[in-house]
Amino acid sequence: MSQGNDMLEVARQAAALARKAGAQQAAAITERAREVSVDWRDGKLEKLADHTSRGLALELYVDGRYSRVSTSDLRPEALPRFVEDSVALARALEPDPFRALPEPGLCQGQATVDLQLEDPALAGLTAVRRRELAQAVEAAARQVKGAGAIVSVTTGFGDGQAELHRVHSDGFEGTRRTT
Amino acid sequence: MAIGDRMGRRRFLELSAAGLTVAGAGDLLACAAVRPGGATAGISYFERFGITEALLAEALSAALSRGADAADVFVQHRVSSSLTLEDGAVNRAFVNVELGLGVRAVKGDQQGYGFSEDLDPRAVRECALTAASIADGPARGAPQRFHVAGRLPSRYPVRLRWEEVRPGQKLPLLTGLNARAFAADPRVQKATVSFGDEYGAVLVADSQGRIVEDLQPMTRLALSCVAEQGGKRETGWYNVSARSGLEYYTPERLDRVVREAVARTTVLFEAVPAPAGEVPVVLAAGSSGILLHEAIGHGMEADFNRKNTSIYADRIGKPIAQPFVNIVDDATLDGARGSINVDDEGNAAGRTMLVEGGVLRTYLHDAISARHYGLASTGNGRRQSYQHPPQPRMRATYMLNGPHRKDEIIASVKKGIYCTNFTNGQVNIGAGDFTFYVKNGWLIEDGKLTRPVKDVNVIGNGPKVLEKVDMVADDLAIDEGGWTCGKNGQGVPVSQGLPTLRVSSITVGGRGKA
Repeated sequence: MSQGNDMLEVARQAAALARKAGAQQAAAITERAREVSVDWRDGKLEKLADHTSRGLALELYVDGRYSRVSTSDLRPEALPRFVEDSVALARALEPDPFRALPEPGLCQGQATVDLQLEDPALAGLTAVRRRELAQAVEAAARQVKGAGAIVSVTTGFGDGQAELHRVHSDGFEGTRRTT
Repeated sequence: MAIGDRMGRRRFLELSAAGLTVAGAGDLLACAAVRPGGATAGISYFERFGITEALLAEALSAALSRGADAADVFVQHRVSSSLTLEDGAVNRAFVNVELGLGVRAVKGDQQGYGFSEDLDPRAVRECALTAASIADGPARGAPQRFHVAGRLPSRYPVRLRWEEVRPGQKLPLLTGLNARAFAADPRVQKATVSFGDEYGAVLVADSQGRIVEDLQPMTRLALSCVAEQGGKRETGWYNVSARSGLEYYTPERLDRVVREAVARTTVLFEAVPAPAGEVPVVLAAGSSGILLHEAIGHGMEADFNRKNTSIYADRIGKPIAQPFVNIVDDATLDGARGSINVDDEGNAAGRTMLVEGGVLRTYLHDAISARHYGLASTGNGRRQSYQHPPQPRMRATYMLNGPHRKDEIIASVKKGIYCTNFTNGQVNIGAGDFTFYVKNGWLIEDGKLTRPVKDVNVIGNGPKVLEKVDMVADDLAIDEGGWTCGKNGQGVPVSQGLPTLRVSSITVGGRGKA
């Protein structure tokens, strides 16, 4: 997906801001996702939706305390204040001493096997093809035995792509792309 | 409460004809002055996020660029915070900030929708063009200026605003409730307290040139107890919610939360199995309204009727209940969780008479269904957030008082069940078939409440149960709990209520003898 490097950079910035604000450890997770869906009802297009979302989640470990915050407001001027307020919130809590990031050693030696979670062919899926697929399912439903009793048929087709980055304050970085 | 899937079969869980609108029908946004220039008309809260009249006009222009009949832009900023106390410690906190914008284009009954969490003009235009592709025709003109309402109702004024309340001011609510729960009954072994608050605003601008902003606060507090007696354990809870600020948590309200949570838990130690079979069922005033909401109210949402999938699809103007049954859906209750000053399409949100004198008068409409039926919207177009297009949704749904008295109703039952508190269940929206689990209830024997019951399910069909309502009392109570209604993957806050009423018979799944 486009702008993936931007989102990785946001995660890095957030982890660094958390440390600067006083967190001993922080995990920053950013995600950008696109979802497209088509609803087809009784022979015509009912609903078409094309969504692109982005967001940051931050796990904070502050003086033996823990909190988790998230935001879709990634404006550069908003992020520092958001992180500072979040660290202050964690400080107000009671200790949760068993919470911590995994030991850095446990995150080393990651498998390089391709789990094929991303289907590149999906990028070539057209709006027309999505409609055809939803339309075909309705047509099939109306051809089964007893279809004369059908009052209404709604079918749908949806697909999506997502790219997630995880950055730990101790240096771990990982990225996952899925469709 | 309700978590639905796309086919309408749904479960619910807690804590987890527009012309007949009594008030509020009409165009809330039409009576406005257009600012001659300078500051952007109607944009106050969202000015800080760079939302301008020009940005909205450009988005609407793009949304109408392929011939849609209408278009709207929905902007939202919401900050949600939650704290949880467990095992005596408040050590879980979550904050979520939502900022984004959704653009919708409507062509007949069809709609295209796109949203963006990037408020840059190019990103906004891109999602508007996505929405526009629902249509395929010549462009329509979009407004360049917007007019604002003269005055929105003020149904949820806030004195102590959540954006100004520090975490240290919230924590005593949780620790205090925890201490009081243990002090209330020595059988209480564990308490969990969860607290949440929200602040923020929504903005709607549409292709008619209307614009409105609404500040929408919310808060919720829940206490869950585990008690032990003689080696047996029972759980119970109580929760309260409102569109309000910190001032909502009065000592009286906090006392009630503790009292109800502990009582609902410990009464289960005395509970006996309920009779099984067809018996008269009395629904207590208040939270029993969940049955009205789930099994009946959803069938009155216009989209299910427009698609001919509701049992009420051909029942407008026809009797569906006894003449003393009146049901409303109301956005006007002060501070109620389900109240709104304006719906998420910018339409006035009032009090809609659904059933009057036992006759079905109207469905709950959003803009699409209202156009379909040739009516005005009832102000029920609601959405979970900017990530979703609006659809017809309930607000606060309840039955009005009837001609009977609670004691008269109880006295009329030889053997039956009195249901005070429901939890999980399942509803088929279109047909109205339901099962509900009665968490708290009582046996009625010879016209008296005798023993508490537990492990009871009631099973039936909502519209048929409504036909069997043969007594309605004069003690309407709106439940103060934190109900969230789910439909098509969207959750919205709602309220509901009921006066005490009698259903002549419902199938009860219990382990005792009828």
